[in-house]
Amino acid sequence: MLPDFPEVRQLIGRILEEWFEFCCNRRLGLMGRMRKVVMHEGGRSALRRWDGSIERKPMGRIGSAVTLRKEELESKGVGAVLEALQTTAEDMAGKQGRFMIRRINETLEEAGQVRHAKGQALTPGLILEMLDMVDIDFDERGQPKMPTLMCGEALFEAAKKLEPTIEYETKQRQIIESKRLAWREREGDRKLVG
Amino acid sequence: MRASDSRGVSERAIENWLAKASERSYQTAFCHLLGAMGYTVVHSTSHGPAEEGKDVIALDRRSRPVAFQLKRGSITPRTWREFEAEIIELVELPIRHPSISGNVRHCALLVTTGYIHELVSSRIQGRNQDWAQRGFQPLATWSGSELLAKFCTHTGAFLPQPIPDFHRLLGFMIGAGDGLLDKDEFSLLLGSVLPVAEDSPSIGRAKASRAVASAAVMVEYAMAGFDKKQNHYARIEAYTMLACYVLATAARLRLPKSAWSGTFNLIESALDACVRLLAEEAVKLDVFGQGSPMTDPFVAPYRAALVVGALSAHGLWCMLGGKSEWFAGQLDQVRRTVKVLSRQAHLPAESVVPAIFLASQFLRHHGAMRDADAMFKQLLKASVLRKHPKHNLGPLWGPYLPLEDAILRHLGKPVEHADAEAWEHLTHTAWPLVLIAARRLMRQDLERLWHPITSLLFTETVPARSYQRLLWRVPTATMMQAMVPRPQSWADLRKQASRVEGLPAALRRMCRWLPYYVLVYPHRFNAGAVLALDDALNV
Repeated sequence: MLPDFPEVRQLIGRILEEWFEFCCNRRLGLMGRMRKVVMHEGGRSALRRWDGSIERKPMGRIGSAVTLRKEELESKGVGAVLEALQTTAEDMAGKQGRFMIRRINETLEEAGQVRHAKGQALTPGLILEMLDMVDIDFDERGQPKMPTLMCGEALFEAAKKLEPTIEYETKQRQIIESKRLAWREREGDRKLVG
Repeated sequence: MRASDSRGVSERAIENWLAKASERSYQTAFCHLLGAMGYTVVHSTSHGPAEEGKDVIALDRRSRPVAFQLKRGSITPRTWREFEAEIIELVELPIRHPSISGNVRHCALLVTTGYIHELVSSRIQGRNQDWAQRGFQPLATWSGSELLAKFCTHTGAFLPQPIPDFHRLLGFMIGAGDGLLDKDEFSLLLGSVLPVAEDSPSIGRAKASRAVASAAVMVEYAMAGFDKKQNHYARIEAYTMLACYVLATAARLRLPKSAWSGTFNLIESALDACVRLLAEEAVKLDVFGQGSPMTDPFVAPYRAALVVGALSAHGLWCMLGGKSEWFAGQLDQVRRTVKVLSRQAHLPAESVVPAIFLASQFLRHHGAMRDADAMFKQLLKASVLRKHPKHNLGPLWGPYLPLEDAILRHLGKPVEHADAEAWEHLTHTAWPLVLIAARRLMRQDLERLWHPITSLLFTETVPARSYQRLLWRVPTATMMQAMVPRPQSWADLRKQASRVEGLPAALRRMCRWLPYYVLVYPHRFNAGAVLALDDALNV
């Protein structure tokens, strides 16, 4: 063989991997910032929640192929590799995002936590309904840790145009107060009894 | 590479190992070789004064006693003169061992890794004539070439054949030997010799028995790198993994105990000898004096944790029925060492939790209840609070992270983006500690920690088959995660703390291995193993 540089290759490989993951996470946005749990052995997972419900979900396989053309490598060099990786990262992130949303939807459907808008436009009422369906925690100063709204671009633009009305704000305050009571109750349950 | 070429390479590797092995380091391999040859080893000395020229005592296939004297290097007339008296004892003094009748004349064998000079051979012939006239059995010899041939014949067929596995073995043999055992690699090596994988073909009892003995010899070959540096801790880990893989093989193939117990006893003797050497270094309290003094203060607290774990595991192993030749005589020193080192030990990751837990159990059962309780409370608190970023106590990394990586992070090395595995709220080792606390009626301590406990995800890997818990990694397993109920009934918690589930049957029967099991397999430090250990200690 011709002379080679295995250690340099190894290091570059790691850097490219990191860059690939960075591109994926950037594309995933909010989902890219989710906690990552690595399974070091086994191929299945199960979760028993504090209310005793058990969730078993099969693992899914997500993959994306990298294509490197000889002519491009010759003409663009390193640039061709970075371009190919970026394209693959975009594809991979898209698949990961769809997979995660499908999984979240399945779980929420099973738990009855889904409110279908059935084509109607986004209104403050709909947002309040959604807010009413989720648990909200509070910090040490009693401030609510508000959930993050994840949506597509069109919905995001529509949400920006929503005008907060007095009625809306009053209703929101009522929901937050009811959530505070529910949170206190939940916190009160985090104890040893009997 | 053809099979015959591969065999040639393995012979050269064994020859190289044998040429460099010390008496002590090849003695265990030699005992395993005897097992593979059909002998039953009844005693392997720790080189004490009572050996009377007999390093190894065994019964041959016809149950005749044979005593072996092991030497390394070539035997010249000068070296012969140095140990001739030992040889006379080897031949003339009867074997004193409960398994062997004093009336039976034993065979005597001088074994060496080098050649025997012709003048020595003729002296042995002369001595043999004299011994024959006086009714003793003649002295037989195995020189280096014969010994090598026996090792190659009896282990060659079982050595890893595919090139990657053989390279793995060579990697261990020529390794620097001053670090920790690479357990990922070592488990692959064991798996290449022992049929523990679900899809590996089933083999008959006789072949399985030979595979077990050969695996034990192979481990001795693999330890050559660690022998150079007298790295006893790596050996302790290797013997524990070997023992677990032997038990897994026996469980998977339903082997009778007679098919593996001979090898297993030798593993236990070798383990005992290793811990003795480790203890001899540790009781001098020189754990802060190894390597460069510039860098040692940084790593010594982590080393202290491992030493404490090994000494405590051995103390508990002895308590649970393990046979140790030295432990009872040095108990006070070991206890003092464990106490001192435990105070210095650092806890970078969950992989060190078992070591500290074993230390608390050891002290608890050896007259230091107050120290033990304080240590356990500290451990419980750290295991819970260091999983919550808001307490700002520094992360407690997971048990799957290699210890050296965890140490570097504990010392402040930034985490690489690609390795940013979650540690918050995710724990493999806290739940057994909670249950032990419930057993000990530490309700107030638990109540103080209960709020953070309720936000933990207690994680355990549950394999499809029970024996697979004895393996380092299991491809077909389920990662079970659980949260505690809100509210949690104290009575229910106590009930859970009384149940022992999910423990391989072999460990139930041989509970003395539980301390080593949790020490070397920290990711298996789960409720089943920990509660079973606690039960066994409290019987």
